[in-house]
This record gives sequence, structure tokens and C-alpha cells, in this order.
Amino acid sequence: MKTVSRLFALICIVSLAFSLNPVFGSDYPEKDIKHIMPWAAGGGTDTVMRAFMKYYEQELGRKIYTVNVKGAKSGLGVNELMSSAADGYTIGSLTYDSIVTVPYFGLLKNYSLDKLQFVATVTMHPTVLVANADSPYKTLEDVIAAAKKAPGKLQVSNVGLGGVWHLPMIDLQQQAGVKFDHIAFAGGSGEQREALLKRETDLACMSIGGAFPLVKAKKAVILAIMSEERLAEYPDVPTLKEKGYDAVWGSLRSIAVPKDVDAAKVKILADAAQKTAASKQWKSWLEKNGGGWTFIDGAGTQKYVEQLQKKVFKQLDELVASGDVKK
Amino acid sequence: MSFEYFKIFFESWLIVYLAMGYFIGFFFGAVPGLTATLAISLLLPLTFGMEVLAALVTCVGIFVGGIYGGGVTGILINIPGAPAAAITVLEGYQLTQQGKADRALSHSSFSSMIGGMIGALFTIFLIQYVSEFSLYFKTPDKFSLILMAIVVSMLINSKDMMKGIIATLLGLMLAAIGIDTFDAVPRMSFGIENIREGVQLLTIVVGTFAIAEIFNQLASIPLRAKDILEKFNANQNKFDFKPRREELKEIGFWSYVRSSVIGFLTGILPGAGAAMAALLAYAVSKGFSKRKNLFGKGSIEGIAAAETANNAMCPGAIIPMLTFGIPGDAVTALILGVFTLHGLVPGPMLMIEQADTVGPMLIAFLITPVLIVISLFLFGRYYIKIPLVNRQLLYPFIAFTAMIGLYAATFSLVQLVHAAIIGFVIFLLSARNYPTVPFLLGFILGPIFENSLRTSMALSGGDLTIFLRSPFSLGLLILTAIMIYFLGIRLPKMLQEQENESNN
Repeated sequence: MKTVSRLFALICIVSLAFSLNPVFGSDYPEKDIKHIMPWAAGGGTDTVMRAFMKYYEQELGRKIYTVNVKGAKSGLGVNELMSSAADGYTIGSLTYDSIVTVPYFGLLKNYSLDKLQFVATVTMHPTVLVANADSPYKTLEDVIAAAKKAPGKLQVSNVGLGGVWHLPMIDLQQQAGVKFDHIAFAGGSGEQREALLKRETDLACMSIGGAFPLVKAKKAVILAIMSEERLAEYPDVPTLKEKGYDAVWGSLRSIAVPKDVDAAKVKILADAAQKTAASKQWKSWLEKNGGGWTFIDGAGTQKYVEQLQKKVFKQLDELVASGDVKK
Repeated sequence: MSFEYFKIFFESWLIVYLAMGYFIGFFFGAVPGLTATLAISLLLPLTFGMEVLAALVTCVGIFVGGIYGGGVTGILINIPGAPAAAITVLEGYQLTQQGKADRALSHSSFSSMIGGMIGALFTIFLIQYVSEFSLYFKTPDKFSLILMAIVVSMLINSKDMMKGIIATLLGLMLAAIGIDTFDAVPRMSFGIENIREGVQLLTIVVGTFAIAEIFNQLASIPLRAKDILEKFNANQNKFDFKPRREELKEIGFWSYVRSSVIGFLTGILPGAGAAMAALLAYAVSKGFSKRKNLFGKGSIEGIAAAETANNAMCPGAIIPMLTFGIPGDAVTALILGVFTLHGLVPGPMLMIEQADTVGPMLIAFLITPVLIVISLFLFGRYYIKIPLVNRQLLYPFIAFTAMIGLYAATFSLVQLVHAAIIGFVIFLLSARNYPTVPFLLGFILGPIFENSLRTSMALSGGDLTIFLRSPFSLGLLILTAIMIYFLGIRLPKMLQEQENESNN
């Protein structure tokens, strides 16, 4: 009996010693990291960011667990990130809406991007203009010509007025001197795809990731892409820029932490993000799931965000003034 | 439908998930006050971490088990476990009083199996065609279909039409809270940050089915075991569950087919539900029967018709959900929730892109009915124990699980508060005979109702005739009008007359 209890005591001491381990070594991260995902589970952003986190945690050496806090066009989740403890154990994902829609429309009272610092941007999906494969519109010129002939008749889908897929078309319509009929499908890109398939709308303006399933199934064709340069995956698809319209649009997915996280920790997070982004696994995962690989570091993201806000807020102001968008 | 989908059940754990789902559904269906909807909503947070196929198959088991389970307690002690079982109870408890509970149980499960399997076969053969057809089914048509679902469920589930309308509108109003999906403007939030995100489906389900039911139980006098056994007539009833040849002959082959078709078609019709399927099949069978005098006094034919139909309804109900993304009732709405959680979007593309997920799920509808009969032969003699479960212990446990599940799914304490408030309000309303099903369906269908209306309006430039110009939409609107006439005007009058007659 005595030996058993002695053995037991020994086990206890040893395990206690092991459990104290983190006190001695103080390398960040020492515990699991919480990742706030501001969109619904199973959605496009959720799927992509969860995949990224799976590879990211291998670089960081700690588990990352994702919590979905959806609502208010991603505002609620990001808001929670803003008010989280700045200890480096809470990170969050941001998308276009978190940067533009939520602050511009004032969806949440205390929401301000100044409360965050960016770690990195890990995907950038250019916006594309898509048509049904059987439709009469084969090129961008067809579309512009048709819109010139019948102003306000050509129907283009988006997922919400003033939102991420509506503004590019406003941009194009101003530059080309035409007018489209903008149809919102609040159910998301799934509904947009369906409407395009059923020929309910003539065109769809969406992320290249959203268009991917239809393009792969040869049910739809991309007429134009709104990136700076042609994409390697779609070498035949022209950019709007080369067609003479200075319209570069896309949706990004970034990682951020609360403002006061100390620089050393942010550097560890950023370095790991860079390594993850460069990894083969992540690249091949993205390729199979719609592409959009990019890497922009924290400072670069901050600059990009400021530029984006400046450009889009001005456009939104005009739209609100003209009554096309409600604020 | 390939044989592969069959094999997958027996090569993996899927069959275990299916059986587990079935028994959970059966238990929740059989215990009065618990529902299959509640069972699925308790399970929903768990499905985050499950393989999508396992989650779906479990839901199918719960759905079918719940519908069947509702009849069992009804037959034994005259308390229907679920509204779908009302007809089965009417006939079944008569048999129990005559000491023939085993006959009632035998035919309720045998017919459930036949109905379920025929319904599943119909679905498997038709889904591809409906799915192709759905490519022609545009936004205005969707609007009319959702409108019909809302109206029909309101008509069927409410005794007092005014209260039904109020309940439906309450559901629609709750759904409108939150940020406008088209314009990014907060609506009906009264400046409260916490409800800017709107009220969530899971919160409503937990409030309506778990919390409200607990208040209900607190307010009612529990049945004692002695009374239950007395009601069951324990001394007289035996347990010989084999359906006899002469009984099957009495029911007749065509009766099964007829009831299956009725049930299946009622299932496709969103909003109608299992109770409607059973009632219709029962009425039709009575019309065809040679022994009309037995109806209402313990007719096996009546049980067979009702149970065949309400089980054939289940696979039918999945069709509009898979092809149009329009759930017809609470259970299919939650199954739709599982779909979206895993990033599967219903619609015409689903059958092309996700055949490997949908296929086995449909096969599950074919396998579960067999479980019904197997479980009767294995456990049938213990069914009487189910209503003996101590519900005073059960309910706090369920409330606890529901709240934890809700928290796990949303990580939000606010949602728990919402669920408690909604639960209390629903309890007060249902005590005053306001129906809960139209309320829930109003809430579930509200957002897609609004979206399809507003998108249709955008497409037509504000022209309301868009709903009359499409043949499908026009047909559905006319059908809705016919439903309103028959269910809302004719039926109450007929019931009134019948009542007057019996009073004289």
C-alpha cells in the first residue's frame, strides 16, 4: 500500500512540475489563441479563414480555436475583437465590409478601426463581371454597347446596395457613361449564381471566388476582372484597366489584433502569418478553392485600408447624395 | 441513385448515426411536450464539429423517429406526443381500451414503414426532375411559394383565425429585427445594440420549444405513474406485434398506396405538415372504406391511413427545401440550417455539385422506416415505460442542455436572455391558444419572404404584376386563394355545422 501511495505522490509531483513549465519559459504564445470570425460558419470567409488558421497554428505552435460572432455585416465580431484583452491571445478576421460598410453606415456606435492594428492580409479576390455562358454578352464591349443602347435595362446582380459588389458597377457605369439596373440578392453569392443560371439577371458582379463554381462548371464566363493585372489562372480574361477603365476592386481578408498588443507579440504573429502564407499547403488549398493568394504585411494593410476608405467613402457620399443608396 | 450511396451506410458509422438519430427522435416524439424540432435544435451546436453527412443523417433519423414516436404514447395513454399523431391517437387509444394495444402499435409502425419507404422512393425518383425544373422557378415564383407556405401553415395550425394571423405576424416582425440586408440600415432595434444583430433562429427554437414547455410543465399537474398504467389498461394488453394477414387484407394494398401519395404530396406542399397529411389520408380512407362504422371506434384502417401518410410526408417535405431552399416546417428549416452551416447552398446546383451528400441523405429516408419496425419488435413491450419517465427531472435537464447548446453555438449571453424572454412570452401566448407553429414558420420564412419580394420588385422596377405574369407564380397564388377558401372559410363552417348537429 505504502509503495503505491509513494508512487502516486511521485507522479503528482512530476506532473505538477510539468504543469508549471510555462511559468519558467515565457515564449509567446504560451496558450491557445482565440480567433473571432465575424461571419457565419460555413460561409466563404469562414471556410477560407479556418483553412488558413489550420496552417497558421502549425507555425505558431499553439492551437487556434475559431469563434463565429456574426451579425451587423461583420461589425459585431470585429467590435468584440476591439474590446478584447490586448494580450495577444485574441485575433480576428476582417473583410471588406468590416473596413467600409460598418464604419461608413455607422452600424455600431463605438466601432473604430483605430482600436485595431493589422497583422497581415492573406487573401485578395479581385471582383469580376460574369455572364451566363449562353448569354449574348461575350465580351465587355458587348455589355457596354448594350447598356448604351438601352440605358438602365441591363440587370446586374449584387448582394446589397452600397455594398462590396454594387460599388464596382457604379464605378464602371460612371466611367463608361452608361447606366445599369442594379438588383440586390440579399441571400448572398449563392442566390446571385442561381439568378445568373436562371437568366433572371443578365450579369453578376461578384468575387472571383464566388464565381469559381459556375466558371469551373462552364455555366458562366468571366467578362472582365478588376485587378491590376491579368491573373495567371485566367490568362484570357481582360482586366477593366486594360480596357480603359481605371477600376480596381477586390475583397480582402485580413487578420488584426487589438491596438495595445505589444510589438514583439505582433511581430511573432506577423512572421508566422508570412510563413503560413508562403507555405505550399496553403497555396495549394487556395488554388483548389477559388484562388486569391496574396500577402500584405500589417503596415501595408493599414495603408491599403486607408486608401480604400478614402476612395469608397467619397463614392458612397455621392451615391447617398443622389439617393441611390440609403444611409 | 447509385447503389454506392447504400453501401456507404454499412461501410462507415453512418448507420450508427442514423439509428442514434432515430432513437433520439422517437424518444422526443413519444414524450408528450417534447418534439423532434427540439431534439434537432439541441443537436445543432454539435453538428458544427460533425461530418456534414453524419449530421444530416442524424437529422433524418430524428425527423422520422419524431413523427412516428408521436403516435406511440398517444395509442398507449391517449396523449399525443406530437400534433401529427392526433388521428392515430383517436383510433389507437380505442384499441388500447379494448385490450388490443399491440394491434394498434403493430399497424402504426408497419404502416409508418410502408409510407416512409414509398415516400422515400418517390423522392429519390423525382428529386432530379424537380431540381431541373427549379431552374425555371424564378424569384417571383419563390415569393408566391413562400407566401403559400406561410398562409397554409397559418390556416392549418390555428383554431382561431385571428390568433393564427397574429402569431404569424409576430414571427414575421421578429424576423425583421436587425440590419436591413439590402441597405445596411438597422431596423426595429430601438437603439439597443444587442438586438442590432437580430434574433437568431436557434434562440427562437430553444425559447419556443424548450423554455416555453418548461413553464408549461410547471403550470400543469403531472400525471402519476399509477394513473398512466390505469389509462393503459395494463392487465389486458398483450404484446404480439406481427401484423395479421386478415388485417392487412382489410386495409388493402391500394389504401397504402393512396395514403402514401397523399402524404407525399402534402409534404411537397410547404407549410402543410404531417398533421394535415394524416387528416387528409384518414378522411379519404374513410370515404373508400367498407367498414365506415368502425372509424372512430378503433379502426385499424384509420391508423394505417394516418401513419402511412404522415411518414410519407417526411421525404416529400425535403424536396422544396433541397430544390428551392424553402423549408416547409420547423424541422426541415433546421435541416436547412445544417446545410448552410456546412456551406451547402440548396437550389438547382445542389444535386449537381453535392450529389454525394444529398444521395446518402435520401437513402437514409429509405432505411429509417425499417428501423421503426425493428425497434417495435425489440423494444415494443417497453414502450409503455416512456410516458413514465420522470418529467420533473427531464425538463430541467433539457433546459440546461438547450442553454448550453445555445451558448456553444453563439458564444453570447445575450442570446440566452433572449431565449428566456421569448420562452416566457410564448408560454403566455400558447396558454391563450395562440398557435406556435405559424409563429415559428413566420420567423423562419420571414427573411426569404422579404428578400424574394424586394428582389422581385427590383427586377420588375416596382411592377406588382410580375407575380401574375409568371405562370408558376400565378398558379401558386390561385392555389393559395383556393386554400384560404377551403381551409379558412368552408372547413370552419362545416365543423360548426357538425357541432350543431351533434348538439341537437
